[in-house]
Amino acid sequence: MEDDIKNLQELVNRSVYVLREGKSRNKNVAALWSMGKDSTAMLSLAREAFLGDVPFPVIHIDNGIDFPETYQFRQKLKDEWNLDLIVAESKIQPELSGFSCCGSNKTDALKLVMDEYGFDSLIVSIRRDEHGIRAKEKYFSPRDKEFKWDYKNQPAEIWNNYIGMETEGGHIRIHPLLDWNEIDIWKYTSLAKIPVNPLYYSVKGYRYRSLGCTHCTVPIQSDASSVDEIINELKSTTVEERSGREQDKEKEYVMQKLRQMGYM
Amino acid sequence: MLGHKDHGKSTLIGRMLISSGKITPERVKEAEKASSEVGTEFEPAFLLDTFSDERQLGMTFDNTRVQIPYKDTVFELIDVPGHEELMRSMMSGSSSADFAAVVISSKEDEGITDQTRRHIYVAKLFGIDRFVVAINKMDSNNFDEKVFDNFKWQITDFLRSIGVPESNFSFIPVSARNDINVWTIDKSIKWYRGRSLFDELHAASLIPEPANAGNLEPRVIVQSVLLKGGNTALLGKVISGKIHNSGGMTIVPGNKQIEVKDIFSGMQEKKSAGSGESVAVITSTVVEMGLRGSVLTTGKYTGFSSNHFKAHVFFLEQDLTNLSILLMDVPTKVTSFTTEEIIDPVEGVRKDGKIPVSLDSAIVSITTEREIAFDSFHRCREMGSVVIIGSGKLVASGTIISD
Repeated sequence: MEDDIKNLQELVNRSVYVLREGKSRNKNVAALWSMGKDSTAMLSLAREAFLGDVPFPVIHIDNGIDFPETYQFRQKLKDEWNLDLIVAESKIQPELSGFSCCGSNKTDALKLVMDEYGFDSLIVSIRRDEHGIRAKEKYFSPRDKEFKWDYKNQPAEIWNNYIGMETEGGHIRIHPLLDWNEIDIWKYTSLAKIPVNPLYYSVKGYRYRSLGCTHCTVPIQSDASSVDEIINELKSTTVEERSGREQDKEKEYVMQKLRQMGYM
Repeated sequence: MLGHKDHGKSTLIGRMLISSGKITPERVKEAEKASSEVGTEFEPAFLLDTFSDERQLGMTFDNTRVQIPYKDTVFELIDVPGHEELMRSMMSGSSSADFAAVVISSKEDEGITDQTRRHIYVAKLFGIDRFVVAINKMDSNNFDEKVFDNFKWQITDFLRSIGVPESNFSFIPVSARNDINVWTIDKSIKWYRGRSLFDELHAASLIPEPANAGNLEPRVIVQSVLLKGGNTALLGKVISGKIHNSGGMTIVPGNKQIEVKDIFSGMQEKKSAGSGESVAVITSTVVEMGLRGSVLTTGKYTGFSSNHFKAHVFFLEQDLTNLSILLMDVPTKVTSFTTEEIIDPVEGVRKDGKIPVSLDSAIVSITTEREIAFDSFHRCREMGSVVIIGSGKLVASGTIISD
């Protein structure tokens, strides 16, 4: 337990450092917030980094089909944490799902809002352990105008020197949670007493482990109805976290294509 | 995880992931399917090389990081590309590593290459002084002890010549593809009485790190200045010693004194904060906003504050126009740059000439436009690691030796 807390504090310190670097190095920073556990933990870390305030706007890409609980949770935290919330509406195409849906809609909506506000950098709460493709991500990563990720030609990060690269009208992705694991997020959620989207808790034997929209997310079998029970459940699982997310598996290399195209 | 391309770094890490049981069956199945699609037998490297083009080309593009629990610890393995043109990624990977595993293929026509030696040299330059050397593909010579010994003596000579102490390196014969001596020892190899790769990595993790900044006076790297509620907060990271929530501190360079009112770690007020903590130092003293890259200290500051330093660096480019340096992530213009000595990283010996080319290492002398706070790398890593940028590109990187 003591080791757990020490490890967690190291992660917190590193993320706070990255968030402060991101804010210092860029002129106009925004963050993506899905009301899921990761981006909510990131906002809590931002409050730790900047003496209680989240000093940048948070963007929710809203396709109108998120769960009602998610919308309620958004309002609750917006009020409690005094968030500067931007809702970017994205259209859904009922005949599409997974790759086509996430790719064309969410990414397009993000492009529009980035242009409109002139953001030069975007905080995204991805973790290396989530997906093989995400294991190659860097704390700071340039995306071009089309949001393309040039994964073959990434800038170096040597010690704490982040060697910038021209984004050619694009933006910089800031990834403060890269070193975290799923279970670390929950341990921190417990330690920092962060409010939790109720969809993560079990209802009638099912809970959501990873949250997307109502069309592409399926719950897992689980009786975990508190953060501590979720932590215990994760200690023994052998199932992928994102197994309930359609866009990760419908075809090979979907995640690669999505990320190359600028998906979160 | 260092070594020449195609000597099996990714395959070995893939094998380690499977042995540890850390990888889910779903991912293994996906890698199996991808292997048969490109027409090879099961390739453990595909657990790391997850991009379609990496799999078709059989090469790693950039660093991949994975965590593997073992006994009482968790290893974070950084797979770096072996290709010469990807030294930039190798340097990024090495700068965040505590110790290194070197993978050398024992297959005929593979063996120890310039790139193997270059990787070891750069890792050592970047502060790594513990090496576990895995002699891989030993199945290709039926685990021939003579082959193993031959590699062992050659690498021992090289490690010694660049100053790695004998107690800090070890050798293991393995076959990553056939899972021999990775997690457990194969007892049928009678001549090998050592440990498995996992046990050897575990042993290396227990060798004490060289002392770094531990006994230095308190230092805080300043990342930015935040004005809040009539107060000024210096946001930064404690890199040595312990700071307290009262009394004075000094800003280097410039030696301006400030009065400390409070210290915050996260949203908690604290009496003191120690090395590694991200903090906000609240002061009532009026300071300028442009303090990024300065250092806050108490007591007698034993580092340097100057516009000149000497460094040992490794070159990726030879274009030395329009130079600047990055130190603690802050750019400063270079006004004068001289190469004092070139060292061949493959042989570890001095080379004639004063004009370094790509893949050379050199001792350089640099004058900057303004005074900066820094230290030698061996005393304080955070303040002693430097990157040289030329016309916007990464030219060289290495460690500060002196002022």
